[in-house]
Amino acid sequence: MKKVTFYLIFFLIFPIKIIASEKKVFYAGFSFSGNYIDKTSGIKYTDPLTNIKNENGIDIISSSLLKSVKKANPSSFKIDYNFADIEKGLEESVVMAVVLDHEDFFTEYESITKTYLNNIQMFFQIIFYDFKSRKLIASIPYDVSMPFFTKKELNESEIREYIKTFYTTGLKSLDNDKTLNAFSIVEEILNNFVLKEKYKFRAGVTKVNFEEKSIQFIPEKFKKNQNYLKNVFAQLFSSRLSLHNDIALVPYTEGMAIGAKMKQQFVNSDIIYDIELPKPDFNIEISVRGFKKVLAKKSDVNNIFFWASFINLNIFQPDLDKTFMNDNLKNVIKKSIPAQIENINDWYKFYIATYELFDGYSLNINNPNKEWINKTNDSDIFAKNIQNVKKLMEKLK
Amino acid sequence: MSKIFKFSSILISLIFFNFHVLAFEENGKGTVDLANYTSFEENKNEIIKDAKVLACKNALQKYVSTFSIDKKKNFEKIKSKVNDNYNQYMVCDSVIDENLDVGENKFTILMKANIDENKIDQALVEVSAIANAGADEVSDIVILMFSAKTKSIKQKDDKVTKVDQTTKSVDVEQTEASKEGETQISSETTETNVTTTGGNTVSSSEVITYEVTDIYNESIEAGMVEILNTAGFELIDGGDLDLEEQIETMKVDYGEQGKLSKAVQKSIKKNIASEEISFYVQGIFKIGSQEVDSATGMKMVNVSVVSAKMMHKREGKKFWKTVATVAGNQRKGKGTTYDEAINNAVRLCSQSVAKQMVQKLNAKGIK
Repeated sequence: MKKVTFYLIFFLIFPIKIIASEKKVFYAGFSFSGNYIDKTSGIKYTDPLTNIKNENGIDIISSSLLKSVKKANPSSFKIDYNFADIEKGLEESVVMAVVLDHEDFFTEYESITKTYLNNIQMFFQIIFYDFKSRKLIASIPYDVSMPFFTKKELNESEIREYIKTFYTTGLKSLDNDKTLNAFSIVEEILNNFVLKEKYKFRAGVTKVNFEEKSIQFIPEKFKKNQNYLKNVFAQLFSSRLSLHNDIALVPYTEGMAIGAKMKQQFVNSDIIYDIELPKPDFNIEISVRGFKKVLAKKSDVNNIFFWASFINLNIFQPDLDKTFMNDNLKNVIKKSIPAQIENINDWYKFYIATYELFDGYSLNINNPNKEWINKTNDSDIFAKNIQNVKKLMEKLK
Repeated sequence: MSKIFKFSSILISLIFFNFHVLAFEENGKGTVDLANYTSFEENKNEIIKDAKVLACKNALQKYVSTFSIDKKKNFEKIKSKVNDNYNQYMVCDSVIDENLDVGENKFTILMKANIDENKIDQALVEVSAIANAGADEVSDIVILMFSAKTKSIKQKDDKVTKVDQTTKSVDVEQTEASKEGETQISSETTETNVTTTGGNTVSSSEVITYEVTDIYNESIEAGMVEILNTAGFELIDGGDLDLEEQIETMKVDYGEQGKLSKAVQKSIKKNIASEEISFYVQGIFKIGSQEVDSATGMKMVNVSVVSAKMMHKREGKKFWKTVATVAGNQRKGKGTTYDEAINNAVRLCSQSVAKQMVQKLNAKGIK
């Protein structure tokens, strides 16, 4: 009798999961991280492709993604293709999606060979959101660059056809003979990723601001809709911060991915849409102070240009009015461009300069590199504030 | 053996019973004046402990500030109990951050609190008059609430009137005011003739008619019943009360006039009273137009309460009285289809109506 009682008490104090010990992650598919109203401008090439259905009634992008995801065999979690039930709590609260943050196409013209140098840029993330704790527990960004040459200027329909091929059958890699599609890397990422569920607190980008000196360089299509661009920059920063520092975040916006696609994976359609984004415990505000382009060296063969991005980063706890960092950062990229290239796309260069800045910042929090610190901001206070942010990252884990 | 079996059953049921806990997350701030202590270093643990208590209570205070006026009034009855035993109503043990302000000689701590809403609601119910009524005092209630969808919108043409005027002026002698305050003006006479000089336009607003429906009644009941049950009411199905004719008249009245006629109200009251039921709720939810949520692309609908009244007839009294009125509540519902969005919005709206009504009743001490 005593033995039976002892074992029962033991189970009550130390609850044992009788079901499988692997963490379940529910698959939500492909989506857009931005807002619904921005999709026709922000992802104008991909958006129409989501309406093309295959013989099974599923859109061609989702079908291609599903093939890649089904090949994955992650070691720390199990991908579940059924619906989740939020009432089962933490057991069925994590949903995963592959989202497109941003895509862009630009072309530069080489007048001697009369060739158009085309480039398609696509920025994706694999995101894991926990609807019980309301945290973005993982965000793994990856991006794709597709340079190719044509003798004529491409129209939108031709560009879309190229992107469609990239999503579905794939294109030849520049690095080797392999054929890669938009989701070829997803299998590898998922297999190598260790999912961590428990995080103490959350940080989040709460504000993105474009100052006067940056607005003049923003392309017209984004000037009309700065909210879209704000989300792009917020995602650019937060995905890198999350990836390199293993912290949980509050997304800048729910957008279509979290607000619609992921929530649709729950059976509880009566309550799931009531779950709102929480306030972050620590706020991050990004000010894009300006951009600058300088012609450093000119010759008949090549011109050397610098493109610089200037940012202010403010990381603080609003209730305590405690600031961890409020510093200006800069990054400069240098490129040698053949002299005969016309219509150089400056915006893409500024974007990459910012991308590298955010990536470098996130990496250097844990292991500050003196050279990087000096070239980003050579003040003493910046080096000290990096240490403050490092302590903050530890607190968030 | 049987005692152990009973004990084991309870333990096993506790292991597998699924508690659905509603938690309200809030950050609380607690500031301690270091002048009250010898020094920070010497009294560090005590200072942190005191600051934590203040922070957790601050989180509770912030939660209470989200209450409606009636709920706050009810909370006053249990405020001391909850404040003194706050740990039983929340989990408040995560330190978000702390700050030692040497200049101000203050120490501040920020805590994350997860407040158990169920426990607080339960404590509120326990002190309510209606929940404390005896078993033989359980109050029956009938819900007569409907939803209204836009049926038609008549846009009248603006009414334009052309007024033809010919004026004849007759000047009277102008006299300047000789004393302060005196004023004399010219008069003129006008005669209306048939010539064109001007006109006016009377703009008409839309005339909207509604289709009152009961297809969302399940969602209305789903939203209201649980809250009313917890508050000590038991729902009586309106269909059991021989009110079909009155219900149809109600729908027509609401749809065309936006209100009930006196006659049908009297008839309803008489019928309900004859069944010895002392409470009923009547009202309308207005279903807004179908929209698409700009962030997520989901279908979205806004539902608002046009009017919702709880009527009560005290035993021995002749007349029914309005004991709670709720109007203006609005809730949005989302879904993959508009029907789903409407059901979600109606349910949320009816929940908010029921909560407010119960709070008003408790505040008045009605049972």
